[in-house]
Parts: sequence; C-alpha cells; structure tokens
Amino acid sequence: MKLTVNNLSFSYANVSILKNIDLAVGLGELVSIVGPNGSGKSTLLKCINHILKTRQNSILIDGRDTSKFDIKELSKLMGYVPQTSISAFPFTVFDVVMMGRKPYIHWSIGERDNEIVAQMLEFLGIGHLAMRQFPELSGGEQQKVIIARALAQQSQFLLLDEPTSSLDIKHQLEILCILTGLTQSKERAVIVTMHDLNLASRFSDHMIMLKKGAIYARGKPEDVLTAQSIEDVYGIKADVSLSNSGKPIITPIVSNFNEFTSRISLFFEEKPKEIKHENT
Amino acid sequence: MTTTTADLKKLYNKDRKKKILVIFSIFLALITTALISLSLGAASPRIGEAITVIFYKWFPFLHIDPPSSLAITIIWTIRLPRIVMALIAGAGLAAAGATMQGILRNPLVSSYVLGISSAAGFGAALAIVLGVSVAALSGYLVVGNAFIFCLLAMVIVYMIARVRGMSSESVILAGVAVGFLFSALISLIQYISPTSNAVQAIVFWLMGGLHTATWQNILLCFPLVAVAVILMVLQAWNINVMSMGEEVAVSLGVNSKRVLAINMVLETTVTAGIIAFTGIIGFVDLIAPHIARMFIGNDYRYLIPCSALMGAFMLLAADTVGRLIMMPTEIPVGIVTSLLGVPFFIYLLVRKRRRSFN
Amino acid sequence: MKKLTMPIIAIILSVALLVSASAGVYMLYFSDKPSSEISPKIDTTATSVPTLSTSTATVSPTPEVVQEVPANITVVDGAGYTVTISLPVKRIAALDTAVVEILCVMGLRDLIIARCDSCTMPPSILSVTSVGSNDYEPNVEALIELNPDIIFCSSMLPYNEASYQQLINAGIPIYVVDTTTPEPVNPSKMTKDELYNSPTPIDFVCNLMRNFTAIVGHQDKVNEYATWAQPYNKLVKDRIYALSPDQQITVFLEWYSYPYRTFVTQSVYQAGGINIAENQTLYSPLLSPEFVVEQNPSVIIEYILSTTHDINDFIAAKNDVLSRNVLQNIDAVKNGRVYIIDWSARDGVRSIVGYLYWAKWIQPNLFADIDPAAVNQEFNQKFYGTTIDGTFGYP
Repeated sequence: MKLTVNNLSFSYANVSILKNIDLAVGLGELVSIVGPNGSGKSTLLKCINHILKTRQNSILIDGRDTSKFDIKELSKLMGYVPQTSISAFPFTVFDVVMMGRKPYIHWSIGERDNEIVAQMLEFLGIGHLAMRQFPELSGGEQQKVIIARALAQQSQFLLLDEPTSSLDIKHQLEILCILTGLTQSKERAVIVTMHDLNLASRFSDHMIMLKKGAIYARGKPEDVLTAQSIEDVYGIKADVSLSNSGKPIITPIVSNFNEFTSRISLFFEEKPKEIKHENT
Repeated sequence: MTTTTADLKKLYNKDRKKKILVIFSIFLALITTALISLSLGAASPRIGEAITVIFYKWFPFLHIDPPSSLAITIIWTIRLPRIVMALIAGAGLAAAGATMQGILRNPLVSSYVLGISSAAGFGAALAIVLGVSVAALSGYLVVGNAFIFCLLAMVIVYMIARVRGMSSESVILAGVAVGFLFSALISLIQYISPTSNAVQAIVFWLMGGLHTATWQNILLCFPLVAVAVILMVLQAWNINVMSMGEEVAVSLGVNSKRVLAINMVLETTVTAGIIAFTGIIGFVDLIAPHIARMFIGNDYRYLIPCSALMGAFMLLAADTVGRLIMMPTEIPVGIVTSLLGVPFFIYLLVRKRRRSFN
Repeated sequence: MKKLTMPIIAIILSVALLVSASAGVYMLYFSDKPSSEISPKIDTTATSVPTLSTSTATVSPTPEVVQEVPANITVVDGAGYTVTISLPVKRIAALDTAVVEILCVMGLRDLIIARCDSCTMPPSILSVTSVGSNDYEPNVEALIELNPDIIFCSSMLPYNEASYQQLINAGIPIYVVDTTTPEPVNPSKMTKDELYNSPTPIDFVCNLMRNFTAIVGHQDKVNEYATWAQPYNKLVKDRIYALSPDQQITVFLEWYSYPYRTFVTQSVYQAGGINIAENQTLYSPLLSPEFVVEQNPSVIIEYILSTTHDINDFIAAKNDVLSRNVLQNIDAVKNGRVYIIDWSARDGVRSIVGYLYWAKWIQPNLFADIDPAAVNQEFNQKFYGTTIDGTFGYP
C-alpha cells in the first residue's frame, strides 16, 4: 500500500500555504516533515487526512483518489494525532481510546472493540490510567492516550502533528521509539512533523524539509540535513557532524545572535554581558 | 504497574455496569416521585383513589367499580396529565440540552443561548396579539406559532453559522444574537400591544407552566419527543467524537458539519415541540445534563438517557413541590426549578471531585 | 490602531463629563426656579386636608367663586404625599382610567388636556392628547410641554421614581389617587350588621370625589352623582342583608388571561357570595386547578381588561372557560354560570355597575328586576349625556 501526494497546493483565502507538494510513502517507512514555523507542516498533514479540503487527485492511496473515498473508509486507512488534544467534557482514558473504534462501530461496542482498546492501553503501558479522566493526565500521558486512539483505529497510515514538541526528553524518546517500533513490521507507515532536527535525524527513514510551503529537500536524513540547507531554510548557521550510527547531529552556532546582546543596551539599562560560546 | 488486557476489559465492564445501575436508580427515584406526586395535591384524592382511577381507565375489562367523578376529574384530567407532561418535557428538554452542549463543546449551551426560547416566546406573543379574540389562548394558534418561530430561529441561526463555516462558536454567537432579536421583539409587542389582556396573556405564557397539560397535548408531544430522543441516543458516538474537536472528529470518520446540522434540527424540534405547549421552561435543559454528567460521566450513550431521566425527575419534583408547598396556592414551576436546582447543582459542583466539564 | 484608542476614549469621556457637568449646572440654576416659586409661597388660604367623612351638608362656597380667587392649597394625596396646588386649576392631566371618569362625571371633561392610551371612557376623552400607554411611564417631555396645572394619576407613577421626580422638578403638582377599593376584613366572621355597614366601592368612590372638590370644586356634581348611585348601592345591601347565610354561594374569581390566578377579594360577601380563595394569604395567588375542582364553585367570574369593550371579547372568554377540560364537572360550568366582567367596572364611578352585576350573577333570584347594563346606560346618559356602545359585563 502506498500513499502518494501528487502536486498538492493549498491556500487559505488567497494566501498560498502549500505549493506543488509531491510525496510518496510506503508501508514500513517513518517519514518526518521538518521546516520552520509557518512552513506548512501541519497544513500538509491535515490535507493528507482530508481535514482540509484539497483538489481532486492530490492525495492518492494505491493510485485511488482519496477525495472520492467515504469519510469513514478513509478513517480506517489513516489515523491522526493532533498537536494538542482538547476535550470540552472530560472522558475516561478508556473512552477516549474507544473513540478510535468509531469507524468500525455503530452504537454498541463489540467484544473485539473492547479487546483492541484494552490491548492498545497495555501496549503503550497506560493501562493503569484507563479509568482516569483524560484532562487530568500529564502532557506525555495524554499524547500516549491519543496515539493509543489512533492505533485502535487500525489504520495503515499514522499522521502525527509534532507529537514530541511539548514533552520532556524521556517522553520524546519513548514516543519516537514507539513510532519506530510500529513501522518495523512493514504493516504501517508513520508520517510525523517535527521541530527537533536531531530527533528527526535519528529516527526518520526519510525526511522532507519544507520552506514556505514548498519542498526544499528530501531524502535520507544525512542528505537533507546539511549546513547549507539549514541556513537556507531556517536562516541560521549550524555545525553538522555525524554520529556513531552515521546520522547527522546538528549544533546551531549561537554567535549569530550576538546582535541581540548589543541591542540589549538600547532597550534595557543593564550592561551588556559578553556571552561566551563553545563554538566561537 | 502493568495492567493486563483481561484486567482492563473487566474494569471497563464493571464501569459500564455501574453506569447502568446509576441510570436504573434515577429511574426508580423518578417512579417514586411520580407516585408521590400522583397521590398528593390540594384536592382530597390520595394514592388509593389514584390507582383505582388509573386501573379503571386503563383496564376497562377488569370491570372495577367506577370511582367518584371528582376522583376521575382530579386524577385523570388534572394530576396525571400534568405529571406525564412534566416527565415528557423534562426528559426532552434535558436530552436536547445535553446533546447540544456536547455537539457545540460548550457547557453553557441551552435553548436560551440558541435563541429558541425567545423565538417561541415571540411566536406565542404574536399569535396572542393577532389572535384578536382572547380565546386564542386555548386554541392551537399559539402553540403552532411558537413552534414555527422556533424552527424559523433555527433556520436563521443555521444560515448565519454556515457563512462562518458552521463552527461551534458561530452557531452559539448567531444563536445569542437571534435570541436577543426575538427578546426585543417580544418587548416591542408587549409595549405596543393594543389590549392589556394580551399583555397579561403574554406574561403568563412566558412564565411557562405545566397546568395547561391535557391528554391531547401529550399525544402530540410524546411521539415527537420519543422519536427525537431515540435519534439523539443513536447519535451518541458522533457526539462523543465531536467533543474531542472538529478535526479529530473528521479524522475518525465523522462528518462534523452534518452531525451538527442534524442535531440542531433534532434539538430545536424537541425543544419547540415542548415549550410550544408549556410556555418557556428554562434551566432544566442547562442544569439537568450537568447533574447527569456528575453522576455518570460524559459518554453520551449513557449521558443522554441519564440526562433525560434527570430532567424528567427535576421538572416533576419541582412541579410537585410547587403544587404542594403552599397548597392550594401554586408556585410556578420555573421559580421552583431554579430555587431547588441551583443549590443542589452548586453542592454537587463543590463536593464532587470528578470533573464533569472543563 | 491601538495607540489611537486611549486618546479617543479620553476625549469621549471628557466630552461626556463636560456635557453632564453643564447639564447639572443648568438644572441647578434654571430648573430650580419654578419649584422655588411654588413651594415656599403657599398657605395664603391653606385649607386643611379634606377628610373622608366630609358629609354632603358642609359644602364650601360655590365652585365659581373658588375658581375666581387665585390661591394655593396644600393637600395630602392618596399616596400620603403633601401636594401644593395653585388655584384655580384650569389644565388637568388625568392619567388613570378611573380618575378620568371621576373627573368627567364631575363635569371637568373640558379641563382635561392630557390622558394615557388606557383611558378610553367616556369616548369623548379620545380626542385628548395621549402622553403614553399608561401612567407608569408617561412621556415626561410631552407632559411638561402641555403645562398642566395638576397631574392626577394612580399609584403607578410614583413607582417610576425618575419620571415622578422630573415632573415634580418641573414644578407640576402631582396628585396620586388610590383607586383601589378597601375591602371588608374577614367578612366571614362579621355579623350581618357589620357587613351591612362595611363600605362598598361606591361609598369609597363618593368619598374620593369629595376629596377632589377641594382642588377642582364642583361639589354639586358630586352630590348629583351620589344621589343617583347610592339608592342602587342601598338596594343591593338591603337585599343581601335579608339573605340567610345558607343561601350564600361559592364563587371562583379568575384573572382571565392568567388561568387559575385568583383574587382574595372579600367583597364577594357583599354580593351574597363566598370566595373559594378567601383563606389564602397572597392577594392574587395561583390556585391549584384540583382545588378549584374540589371546591366546586357555583359561579365563576372572570376579570378581563377590555379597553375596547367589544362584546366579542367577553363572549370568547366565556366560551373559553366553558370549554376548559378541567372544569367540565363543576357546577358553574355545568349550569353555564360563568360571567365576564371588565376590570374598569369594579373601580371608580362605574363600580356601581360592577356591584350590580356581581349581585345579579351571584344571587339571580334576588335581583331579577335589575338590569346592570341598563343602569350602565342610564349612567352614561345622565353624566355623559349620551349612550355609549360597549360591554362591561357579560352576560
């Protein structure tokens, strides 16, 4: 099964957000989308999932136009984990994960749905939270619950919008290990947007780098993450070295920001301090 | 720390049984209240006569000795229709309230906020004033007009909200605006109304009450409310999913705009069908769902039936207290609902650890 | 954009301040004048407050003489306010229905220069400028512009404190008339003689008119009215006096536009009836329908507020009550003894008509010879000089 994004463009009321995106994701791949704020990462995910309406034949699965799919059929193929999860009225964790079974159930819950939800909770190690209220959980726990919900959807393609951005380093690694694990069996593909380039570099099979709504670079992390591309896309200088496993490690050069230290005296009365940096 | 799949399933089933037990308890409380209400009143007939009358009317083949005509009038044409109307109205209003709160992801939503109450009031006021003869009060002109204006308000709210992409905020804002418009029109009608009788009748209608209940009204009201509540319960999963936000709903295969539109129609029809007969009964549709949430959580499969029972219980209890406390003088049901419901609600709000809304 | 908002708000605020300050200064120095003219310079011929018991014998000089001597008079009005009025009174604003009729009976129709929409009797009053729908919220500007010498109103106007004060500040004396008829207290425990001697609405209105004469004169017209009305009043009282207690019948009074809302009106006794709600503590309680059914009243009297006096309203109201499901088994409905009375027939100069209706409806055998509608026309003919189409009681 293959997900293809074919010449996708999207604009909000005449403001162009995405321009001519082409993309192909096969099962077993973990694809990360990186790019600065406002480059269109989240919009791209929402377009793929048809949360935002796109032109016909922009998103294809095995060559079939997904815009012609019934919304319920599509939800059996794609699961979505938003950046933050709101719940106007609190549900228990079990109920939230059960919502992932929505595409399969009409009203009553079958034994199988029950089984799958319980399994997903156990798999993610959040079984002890099952009867807690969702809004009472920490950010990391909430993220896991929502991933459990997406997994309960039993879809081939998992789309996650910055799943690690509000988490501590342990939870970040935990979530990404789970995602990597999900792709191992070659039965699923994961598309994830990210801010942390080092994490993206370490866990992605493929990377897409967006700049102002267009693809700037794509490929393996070591091909995409170069000092040149980072300067072009993010506007900062960075050292790129290779880790033991051959993945690029990005270290931003902070001296670029020395202009701020000189400006401080204009706005604050304190004396500017020289900031010493390891890289300079 | 590890909880096995089997444990989890057990836990969940236990939770489900607990919820069913809660619903059943409320149902029992409701039946008890109904029996108490049936057996007490300003006139003499008590439980014995009440049961005799009901058996006499429902099971004519039993050939029970006919009770006194006074008992028949009091039980059969006054108390029982009023109790049944309280049950239907309370259940319908509360179920509609719960549903719309969920769909619009806002705990403050009620028929007032959506402009339906004011529209009904305006429809009724218009009919009363234009009805020329004051006898219009008893006719279906007022009822029909109130109902039609509710639907009209909904259509206006829908049209405005659609321009803004049918978001929950746009529906609520449009509802509030339309509500204010109709309130202003009610005041205008009262102000320029040619006869004082009409003004009085409008005030009376706006206050709402259950003593206008008749079997004919119930026959018109009950099927409407029953069908709509069943349809709402069938929508339960859609509403659950929509509580997590529109994007999530779409990603889980729910066409959120369509669900919103369907439920707007359902809610308005139920509310309109009820308040067209009873006059404006507020508050139940706002508070009963929240009390139900505190008891049973937010899974709408259980919440909608639980809200309906809670609303029926609240309205019946309030009306019964209003009938009995200053016997034979009655206190209008709207006053009692708020006087009893608010302290109870605040008590639950402060005491209960479980959060029922954010 | 944001930088602009604060200065704009500041400018608006200061303009508002300036306007209100200058308005305040204006009110202090200019509007003060008329009121200071009136209040200190009174008591040239200060009359004491006329009491309720003034008999017809002790009449003041003829009205013409009073009107020709300019003077001030200080009286206490129906709400207990002390009011100083410059005489003679030439321009009257009468804002209450009952007051308008009283003044017209006193022959003062031509002095009335302002009324409210609710004042529609006698019909000739319709040509007078209306200053609002009722006397709770009259149009103050229009009233001041009409420059009346006095405003007669019901107790509603003082409730609207702002308007009341504005009118006082404009130097217009306001005389509040309390037209609510006092009722016998606990008539069920009274002896026949006590009940006989309790004042009826007609006694009350005659006294009310006598109070007016200190301000507007026309004592002769008051006497004329009393001479006409009192015999009817006495007739009813005498026949009710002869009634034995077991002949009293139960009555349910209802406010037609508010089903089951009743009145604890004790004067039902004065017409030979017993009010089923007489033991209630609230004055206008909402009764339990089942209580009404169990009490099984023999007569139902519906109050309606009719400004048009269209008989069709009365007929519709009667049919509506007769068709009410709940009431089917009570005697009043079974025997068709449901009667509709207009509110205005219970107050003021027409209260004699209302009293006769009640007596005839409650004790039809005692009053078979009485036709209240004819008495009503007699009243119109005698005091307004014309017959008037319009229903006050039905049937």
